[in-house]
Amino acid sequence: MIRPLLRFLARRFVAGETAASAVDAAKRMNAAGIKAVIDFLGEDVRSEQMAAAAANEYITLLDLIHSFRVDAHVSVKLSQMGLLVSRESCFENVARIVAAASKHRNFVWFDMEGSDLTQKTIETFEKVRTVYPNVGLCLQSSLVRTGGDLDRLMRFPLNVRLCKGAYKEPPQIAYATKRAVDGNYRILVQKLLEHVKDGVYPAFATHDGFMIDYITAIAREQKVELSQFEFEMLYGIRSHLLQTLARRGFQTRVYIPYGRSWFPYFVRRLRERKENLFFVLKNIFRR
Amino acid sequence: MKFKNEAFTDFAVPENAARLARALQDARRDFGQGYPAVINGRRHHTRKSIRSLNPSLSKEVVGTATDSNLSLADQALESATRAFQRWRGVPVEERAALLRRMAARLRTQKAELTAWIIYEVGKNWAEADADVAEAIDFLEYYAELAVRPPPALTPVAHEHNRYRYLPLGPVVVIPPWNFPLAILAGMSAAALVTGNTVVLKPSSQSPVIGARFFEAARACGVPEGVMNFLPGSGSAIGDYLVKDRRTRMVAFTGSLSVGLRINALAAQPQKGQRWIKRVIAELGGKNAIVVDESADIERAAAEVAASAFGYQGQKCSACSRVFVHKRIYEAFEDRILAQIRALRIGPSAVRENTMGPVISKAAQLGIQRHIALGEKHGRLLHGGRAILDRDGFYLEPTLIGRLPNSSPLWVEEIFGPVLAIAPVGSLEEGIRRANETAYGLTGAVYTRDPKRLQLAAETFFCGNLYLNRKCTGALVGGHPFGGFNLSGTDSKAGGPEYLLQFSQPQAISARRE
Repeated sequence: MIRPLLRFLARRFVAGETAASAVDAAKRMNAAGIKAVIDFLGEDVRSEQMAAAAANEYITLLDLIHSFRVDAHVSVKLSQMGLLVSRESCFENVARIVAAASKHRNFVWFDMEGSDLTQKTIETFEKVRTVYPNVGLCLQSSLVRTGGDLDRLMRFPLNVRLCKGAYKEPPQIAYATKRAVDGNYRILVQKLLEHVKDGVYPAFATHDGFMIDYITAIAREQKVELSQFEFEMLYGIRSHLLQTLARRGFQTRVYIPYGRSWFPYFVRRLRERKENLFFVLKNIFRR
Repeated sequence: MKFKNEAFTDFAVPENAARLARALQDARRDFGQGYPAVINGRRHHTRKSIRSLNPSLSKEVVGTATDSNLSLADQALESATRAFQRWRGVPVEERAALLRRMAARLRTQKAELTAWIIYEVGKNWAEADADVAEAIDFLEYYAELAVRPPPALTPVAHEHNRYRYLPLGPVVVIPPWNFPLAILAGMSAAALVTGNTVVLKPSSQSPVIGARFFEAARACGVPEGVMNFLPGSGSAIGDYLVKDRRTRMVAFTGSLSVGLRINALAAQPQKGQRWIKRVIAELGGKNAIVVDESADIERAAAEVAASAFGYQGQKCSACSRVFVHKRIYEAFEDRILAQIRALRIGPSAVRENTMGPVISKAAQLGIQRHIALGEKHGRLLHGGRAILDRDGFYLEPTLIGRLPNSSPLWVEEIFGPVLAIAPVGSLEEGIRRANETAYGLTGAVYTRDPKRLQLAAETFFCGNLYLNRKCTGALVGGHPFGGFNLSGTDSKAGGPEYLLQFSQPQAISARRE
């Protein structure tokens, strides 16, 4: 009883179960001047076969994006690519995807997961980056280490998506309060925009109107062009705000997930914003 | 210089930990012993005695010491005055050798002394160990300084000119309880090696450590009368010792109010007094750390926490104010809270406890009064309470924010685990606020910008300024220690010129035919 209901509610945040549904959603967003980045849901994969299958799905997805002429990148989670099984096979899977993307002149983002995988994700990213330039990395402002990671990673041209991080982390390594996570986000915004001239391309993943105002102010202060950074939001969350930003001339991108393994993604969305939870509760009681 | 700092003990090495654990057991067996005054080699008891409590477990009496009266004080000064006539003539090499022997002896007694410091004043293992290491450093460093040749003079035709340092006379040494061995040993050793005699009045909070140092010194061959051990309360004999005409110099480390009183009393000449008394006084601090937006937040937060809460904030060098650039304020606050939450409070004898008790019930109450004031004017971000369910003088590490600039917490020394935090718009503003006290002991600045480090060096007004480093933990020889303004006479203990204050230079010019 509850599962179909949740599935229905998750539809707000997930484009559908197939690659076609995601590409379709991306096309609609493109029409409103918003670019897309598509994620095939799945994480914590424990077998090499499943990881390889997920990689194949991404390659199909890239073909689809190409043939429908949609402006959409793809985003992968390394635990879906088999990072928990073996680092070597994970690297091979990712390399296959990135090579396919390179062929289509597309771009692959590395999602960041829980702090147990941060170091391995960064290391894999750096390894891929030495071969292919069309990759970007997501970093989280909730982690204390991120500032230092950026300092190191920014020694080479870097595409980076800055998000807050929706995973539950121990207080020794992560900022505990929303206030502090936001505070660190602002610090990192400053750091990233200061380094645009050194080849950093930041994507600011935030739904916070005040934060967006802060970012635009710092960008002006640092004389960063509108083409040198972008805003990114999640599918189904504050899409009006993203459209407004697109109309104001900012580069915008929406993160579109699809697939059957929507549950953990859905739970993270509920945990990170109380509005999302209200939406769910409202619908449960409306029934 | 050959001098090297004594290494700290690594308690991760099992033998080292086991050695101290054993020493702690042994020391406990000797709790409650009596420690007499020793004047001219003779032991003196009085009916009244000072009880020294274990602040971690206040029903335990670590030891009792003679509560010296004016008659004993008089005898001690007389003894020091008489012994001076002999001691002044002892060659400096011999006096320096004495200090080296004392250092070697303290080194063999390291675990034992560390244990007594842990019990008597509530330092944790590492802080107590560092206290002993610093004492050894003072002894070896001053031994080496004392035999350095005096500076050369400008040649004058047909003259032979000499320059030498003579001792002063009886020195009254009044050390504090917060470095019950290091400062006591340092001030005493400086006086002795320069040829002065000593009346040592240890703090009434830590007479046992004082007595144990004194015994070690005697065993190394300090002649009778050259150093006299006079435990007692400052209010009973302090004024007398400072005022007496036989006193040539007072070396004091302690609170501002007592320091100013000593300075005033010493300035009044007594009948028959033939000199202007010399006073060196190392007093309090209201030390600040400024963190700018370029700093390594995690490291700065960890080191500010160490500076503020190490030995429960009971160091004159402790950080009690931190000014953080508003751009990183929230993140910094979060990180320092994480540091504070990771502190473990409990009896100092337990190795895992990072924070022990404050020194006494009175200190605990005084600190709580300040916290109450902070809570009224500002906002308590962490801690604030005494921990009453334990039999010691424990206080939570306390962080106070949103204090108005007019709050007394920005200017008054608290001497406890209380840190005030405020955002500032720039490094300059932070340094300006840091300078807004009557003290000027230590300070630190965290920034990655070399230009701002330069600016900090030029404008931050304190005796010991640290750049991208915590503001406590000065090392003998490397960080000569002492403060500006009401922080004292800036005598720079552990510095190359410290001994000059215990001596008077003499120039001898002879005609050459």
